[in-house]
Amino acid sequence: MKTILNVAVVTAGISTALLLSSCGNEAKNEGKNNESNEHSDSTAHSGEHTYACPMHTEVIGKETDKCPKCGMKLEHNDNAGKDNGKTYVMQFSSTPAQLEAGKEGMMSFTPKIKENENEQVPLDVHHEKKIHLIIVSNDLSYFEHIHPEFNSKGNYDIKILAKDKDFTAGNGKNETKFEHGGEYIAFADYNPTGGNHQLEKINLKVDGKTKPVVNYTKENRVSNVDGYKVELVPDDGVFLSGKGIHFDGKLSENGKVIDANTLENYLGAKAHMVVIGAEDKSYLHVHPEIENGNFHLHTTFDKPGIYRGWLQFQTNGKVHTAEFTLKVEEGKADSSEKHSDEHKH
Amino acid sequence: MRSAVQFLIYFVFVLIGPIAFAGGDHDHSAQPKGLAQPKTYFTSVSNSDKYELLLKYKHIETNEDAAMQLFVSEFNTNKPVDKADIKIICAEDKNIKFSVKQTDPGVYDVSGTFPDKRVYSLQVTINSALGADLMVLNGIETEKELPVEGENATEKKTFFENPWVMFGGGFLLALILIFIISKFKSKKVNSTFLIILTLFGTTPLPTQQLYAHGGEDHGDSNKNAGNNFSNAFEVPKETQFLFGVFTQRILIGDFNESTKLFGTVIPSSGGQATVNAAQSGKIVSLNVTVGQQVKQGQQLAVIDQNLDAASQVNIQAEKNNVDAEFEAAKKEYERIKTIQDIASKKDLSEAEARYQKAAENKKLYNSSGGTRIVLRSPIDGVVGNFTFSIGSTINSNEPIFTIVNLSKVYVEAQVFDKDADKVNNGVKYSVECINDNHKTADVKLLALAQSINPTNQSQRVLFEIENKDGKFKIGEFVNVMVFASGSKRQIAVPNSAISELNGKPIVFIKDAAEHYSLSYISAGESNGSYTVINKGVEEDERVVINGTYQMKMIYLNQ
Repeated sequence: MKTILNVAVVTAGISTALLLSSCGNEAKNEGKNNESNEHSDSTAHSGEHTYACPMHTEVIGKETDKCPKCGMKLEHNDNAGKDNGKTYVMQFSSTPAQLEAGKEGMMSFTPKIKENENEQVPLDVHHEKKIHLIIVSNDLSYFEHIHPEFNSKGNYDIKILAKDKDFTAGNGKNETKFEHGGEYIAFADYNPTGGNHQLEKINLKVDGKTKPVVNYTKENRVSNVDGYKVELVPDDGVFLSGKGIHFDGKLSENGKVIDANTLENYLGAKAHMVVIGAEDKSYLHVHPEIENGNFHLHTTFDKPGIYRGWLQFQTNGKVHTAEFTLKVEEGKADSSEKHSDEHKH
Repeated sequence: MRSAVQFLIYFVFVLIGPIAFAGGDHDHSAQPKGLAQPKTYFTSVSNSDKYELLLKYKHIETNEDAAMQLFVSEFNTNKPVDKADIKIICAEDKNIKFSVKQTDPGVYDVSGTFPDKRVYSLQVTINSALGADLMVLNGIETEKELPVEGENATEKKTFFENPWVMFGGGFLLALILIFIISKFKSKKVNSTFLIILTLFGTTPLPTQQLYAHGGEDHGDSNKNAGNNFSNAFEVPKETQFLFGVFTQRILIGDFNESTKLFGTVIPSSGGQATVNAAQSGKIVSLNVTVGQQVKQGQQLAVIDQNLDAASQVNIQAEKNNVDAEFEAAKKEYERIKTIQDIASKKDLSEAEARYQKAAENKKLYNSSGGTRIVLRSPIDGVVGNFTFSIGSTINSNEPIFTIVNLSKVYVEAQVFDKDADKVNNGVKYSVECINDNHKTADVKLLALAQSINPTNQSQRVLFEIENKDGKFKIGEFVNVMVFASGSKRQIAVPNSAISELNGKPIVFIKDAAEHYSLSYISAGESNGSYTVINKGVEEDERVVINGTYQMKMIYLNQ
């Protein structure tokens, strides 16, 4: 009888010990697997994450913050704001060396590192392209947003078509034309891998018959393009310099309001807006958010004066460019704090 | 004293526990190892608008040849990029030479020797049919150890994670049990109770295994919970290439609304003919076989008429008359011809006319076959099935042959009133076979009916199919798709992208090179090849359109 009892007790003891220790062991294994997964992902960071504007990497903040320059949401970027000690330049060349209006040609852009000209500079894709090239005429009456393509020689090229030639993939794709001679400015917007966002201003001179210079003095906040009407409405009624300005872009077609959410994505966003100062040719690239079915834009004008703006959006596979003339009044600094508080979304 | 010895025995036995446990632990820990499949390689990924590069490497020893694998695929479609011209330089050390060799389409072996222990980045110049690109693979670390199995990386442990603490607990419990039993023993418990206790003592063994299994399941669900229920899963690039997992970027596009009609293939007018025998008779010659292609007017068969005796006599008499007249006319003509110098011109021409008439009559009589009837094909086409053979007797007006011309067939569809307008205003019509949806063709609307079938209030609509290769057979059930003229701009994905899980429609989205996620969708209308997605995917996402079934299996087996 005692033997049975002894065996029973010993078995119970062993089993209980096994049961408990195996449970614990299970938990341990699980922890280990999770750990090894994280480890192999090699994305583990220590400490706080840095959030920066995808367009203006010098703008650093918290996850929920927005860029005061362009209104974009800050994105996770641990390299942001850190200077990698390199100075980038965008080298420009063209074939023929002197471009002529209406004639065929090619523009080539090559990103370089100063004092290390032989090194190739890889670029990050931002808004689906490696280089966004904005070409405007000196009087800001002409605007084009195009994207040079990388070629095997290491340059980013864009073809210039002769006057009578048709675009192979439609306007604003990977070709351009100069119908008039004159002075142009090309803004190359790019992001070198491992470096900060860059903007290169390149002056172009195109030979040929020039167009009469347009002098923009009158404000024009309403633009009609391809049957669409876009109206810019600043929250305070006026555009003021030196502080964060919020404004809406109201879109309608034949008098019917269009919900901007229903637009097609153009280069990964519902719309893009480029604003260039008439005087100093200062450049702002703003990405609207959608609020209550309207575009909502947020930017800062450094100086008062006349600015020209182009808002691009896409419907039915076609890109529309609405153009505006904005008059920015001298703003008082004291009201800016109050204003930006009001608009913390 | 005796109880002390007893205690010692218990102690020794209980000590066996850890030995048994140690063995169990070993086997046990091996199992989750296989289940969880910890990564055995490091990765570095780079994306551009054209390419997706994925570099896989294991532990890289400095100053030794490092073997790495580079997977090159199209960014939007995930298709392997074959025969790309790839040059690699190291940004940190330009002297490192890399050799690149393609082993499989899209898979390139990369080897090079890294001199230092540090993090390297590789600049990849790639050129293929897709175009040129310059990309960077970052974060390639030499002398980095892969997580080793069995190495306990977690520093902080909760008490239950320590097997020794747990064992101690078990041991204590056993002691308490001994104590209780000895208590009971002193009260002279009966044997039934002891048996119950014995049972209690032995049962934990199987229970232990059950519990352990439960623990595993728990661990898995915890892992999923760690992924925020995102339905994300990993698919190695090799597997993606093997199963042909292709993606498509979701764009808002033109989606043509369509209406589906049910129809039946019928012969076109003039596309089918029946050959009957006008008289009863016997087939004396059969010139075609079943399935033979025949031309219009081609002789199919010859029938010998069945005639009563009187008719036969008549026919024979008639034949004799014709023959006799021919012979007589011929002789008369020849006779006058020999004397034509003296015969009058009138006689000669009369004899010639009579002879010609007799010859015509004879020819006519012979060609009519007399008692024979020749059956000819009224149209170009294929001879249908028939059961007659030479010598078969046939009745008058009995159909003998069916000649079908499938090069043009009609589809008769029933249209209800609500769809009638859509059918009338459609810009494109196509048919697909109900049993084989790869059998499709474009069709032409012939006519909408002017009247409505009173029994089911439907209209009969005719469509015409150009059926040169005879794909569609008479009597086949087909679906007719009617595409509307207006198209809506919507998010639509190919039907092959959509599969089902737990009765709900799903798609798989590619999040990163080896990361996919499952997304439940709300599917809208489908036009046969594309389905509108109302909810569940966003523009610019990459959705799996090929290898969807394999993705589902991988997801379910993870």
